[in-house]
Amino acid sequence: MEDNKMKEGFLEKGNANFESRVYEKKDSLLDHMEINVIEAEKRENGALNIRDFYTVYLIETKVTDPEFNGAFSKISALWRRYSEFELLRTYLEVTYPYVVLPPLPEKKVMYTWQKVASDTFDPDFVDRRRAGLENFLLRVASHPVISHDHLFIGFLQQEEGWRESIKETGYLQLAESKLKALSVSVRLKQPDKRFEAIKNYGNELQSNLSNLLRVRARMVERLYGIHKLHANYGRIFSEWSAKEKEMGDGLQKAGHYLDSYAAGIDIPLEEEELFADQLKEYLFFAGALQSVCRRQEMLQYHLERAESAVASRTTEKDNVQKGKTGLMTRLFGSADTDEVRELKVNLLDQRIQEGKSSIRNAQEELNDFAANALIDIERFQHQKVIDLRETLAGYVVLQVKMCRKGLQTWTHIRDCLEAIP
Amino acid sequence: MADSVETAVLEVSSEYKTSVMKKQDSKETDIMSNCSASLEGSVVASPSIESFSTLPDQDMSEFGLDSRDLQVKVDNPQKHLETLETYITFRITTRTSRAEFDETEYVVRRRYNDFVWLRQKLVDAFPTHLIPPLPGKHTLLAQLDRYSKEFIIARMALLHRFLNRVANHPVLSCNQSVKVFLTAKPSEFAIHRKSRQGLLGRMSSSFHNLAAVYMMRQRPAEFDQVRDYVATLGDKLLSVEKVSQRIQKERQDYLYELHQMHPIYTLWSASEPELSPALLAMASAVERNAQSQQHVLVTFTTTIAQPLKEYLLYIDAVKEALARRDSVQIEYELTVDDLKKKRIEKEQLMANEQQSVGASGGGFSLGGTSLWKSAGEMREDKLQKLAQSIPQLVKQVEENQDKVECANENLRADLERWHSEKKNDIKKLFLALANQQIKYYEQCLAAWEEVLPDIKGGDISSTQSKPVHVTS
Repeated sequence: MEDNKMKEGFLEKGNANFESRVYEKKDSLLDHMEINVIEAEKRENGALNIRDFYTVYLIETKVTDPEFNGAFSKISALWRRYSEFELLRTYLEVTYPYVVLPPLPEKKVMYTWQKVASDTFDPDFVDRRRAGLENFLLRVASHPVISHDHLFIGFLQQEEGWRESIKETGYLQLAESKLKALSVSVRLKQPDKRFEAIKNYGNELQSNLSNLLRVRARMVERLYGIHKLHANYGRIFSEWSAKEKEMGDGLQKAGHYLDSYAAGIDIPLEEEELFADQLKEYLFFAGALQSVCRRQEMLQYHLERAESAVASRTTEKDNVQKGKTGLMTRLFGSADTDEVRELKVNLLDQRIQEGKSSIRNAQEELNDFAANALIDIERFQHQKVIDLRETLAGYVVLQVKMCRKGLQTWTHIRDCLEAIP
Repeated sequence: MADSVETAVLEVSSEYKTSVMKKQDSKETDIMSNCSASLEGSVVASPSIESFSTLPDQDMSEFGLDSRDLQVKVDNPQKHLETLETYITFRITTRTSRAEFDETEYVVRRRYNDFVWLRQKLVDAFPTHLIPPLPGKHTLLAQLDRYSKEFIIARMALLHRFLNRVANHPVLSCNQSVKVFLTAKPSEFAIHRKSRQGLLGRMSSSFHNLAAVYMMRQRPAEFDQVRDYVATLGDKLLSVEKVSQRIQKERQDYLYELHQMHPIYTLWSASEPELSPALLAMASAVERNAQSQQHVLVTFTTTIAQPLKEYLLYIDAVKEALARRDSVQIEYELTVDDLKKKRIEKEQLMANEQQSVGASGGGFSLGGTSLWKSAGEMREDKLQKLAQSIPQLVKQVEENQDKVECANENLRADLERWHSEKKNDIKKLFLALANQQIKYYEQCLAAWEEVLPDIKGGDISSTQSKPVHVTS
């Protein structure tokens, strides 16, 4: 029972039944400001005769709360390209390592099928990316912690100088080492059960979502094929109707409805891509969750190393004190004099003290991280349930719409056929 | 359905004032309608492994309400294992009030080849009539095993239709072979099957070949039109068949993916305590969709593939009938030509008479006597022959002309019946397709609408934090 709750990363507070739990809504930027990514434009990098195209996105903000003074300006509009979004996110990742960070929309199109644009300059792709970027900004802006970050607000409103100020933080150097560390897997002596559970949950979420996305794409491809083939029926019926006297009218009308059945699949499937995008977001969110877990592992690893360093120094000191000498002295040298021994002991003592303070720091860092991370993971889980419910409900509503449409079309076809004398 | 068949029969066969007609007119309450219930109820359960008595839907009720004077039913397939071969027979049940039948009810067993024999007999006897088609030897779906249940049922349905069409035809149904087919005991029937009457068949086929070579002077416009129409119809139905097969394939793949999807939702629900009801609801809805799609797939054969195939065969039968009519016309035209030629020959010979009085016989003489007849003698011979053959030919021409007119009439009548039958059948075919789709969408709609409340959940926490999704 406890494990289950831990799996979701929820802190157990007494016997609180989650369903009736009141979730505190904390203040975030979005409470004071409106943010929109309203447009996209293709630009050309004309340097050095190389025609390099890229897309920029127009970010508009408007302060809605007159008392709010955390913004650079009341209204702003500026253009940013995808790589700048990436800079922002990397900075946030390094600066707030315990946060389950909202993901950016995919760089390359995954789980695609024939009608989905995969060319980065295709207008459909660009528009979906625009929506994804807006979603990213809204998520960051609704986060109780990171939304107040000045560099984030600067990203939204500061046209000039943002790149420089971000570089000034020196986050880049940090980023490289930290991100590299994430790819290394570590073996802990005593893994934190809570984070283990969360990590396992993250794996499951990733696996389930990626399978779902893969199958959905293939399914939709088939459905598309079925509908389009009915246009062939439409064509045949139309040609045929010309040769028939009594059946002609009925066949022709039925043929038109068959054509519309074929054409009618395009828009619903476009809408269904939105559902896929929402699932993809959570797929990447699962990745962010895994990152947080790995960072916890790293911190714990450092702590364990610090602990074992102190432990070995202590043993060494013991040995020196008891007069046990190492191999080298037994081979080459004489036994230590008392003076030397004392020196050594003092040196070791010093090291041990330093080590102990390292341990304290590492412990503190780990505890802070764990506490913050668990809070944010809880926030994440809470939001996830709401979001996924909405996503699934949206999908079902779309399916209902499609069924109704199909039903209507075939009823028309039946009526046309029945009308044949 | 029975009514329309009956009235059609009455209209078309107005010329055929036979005893058959009289029986139809009186519409006496025969033992048929009384017997029907009992016979239907007492369907014999055959001991063989694959015996069943399934019939195409509507015919069961038809038998009860039927007031036709010749009713036939094909059902109850049985497998027969003999030393040399294995084959299937079908039970043929006949009920009739016609005078030429000794009894009012007959039950016999016949196999596919017997049907083939019957059809050939009808073609031979009525070359200018439209003979209904038989299912092909390796028909419908090539991949079906000849003894598989589906194949047998499909074949049985088509044989039933064939026999009913024959029975409903005012002319065909009176043929002796039909009576033999419906009534003869196995031994008796075997004798009939062996008797050779192939000469006529061979003759008509040779005329078929002739038709390919000889160009008719002028086919009557109406038959030209029919020929064009039938060709187009065949084209269209063939295209429909192809499209339907492609759609079927796509559906199969779609069904596969549906079956991949719902277990994912189920698995996912295991790791999501809160979302579990919603995810399980999704899984169930997807599974129900899969079942509905499965149903569509499974009924494809009987709803679409089989009726289409049958109509393509029927169109072939019409083409055959048209060709046979053509060959009658060709025969007539040939005799006309022949007559013309002979008359010209005669005139030429008569004209030559004056000229060659003193002509001596050609060739050399061997010992004084000439071996060849003189030109004059030869001419005399020829004229004699012509004097005999020309009147014969004249008579032949007249006969053939009658034949042509008869053939045209027969075919015209049959085509008229066929047109309305075809219209109804095609309408029924596509209606079945539409209804199948309607049912499918109704089921899927229900499945999705029912799970929506489970997914929306309706928990309190959802009202506090708004979802951040952008709905552009």
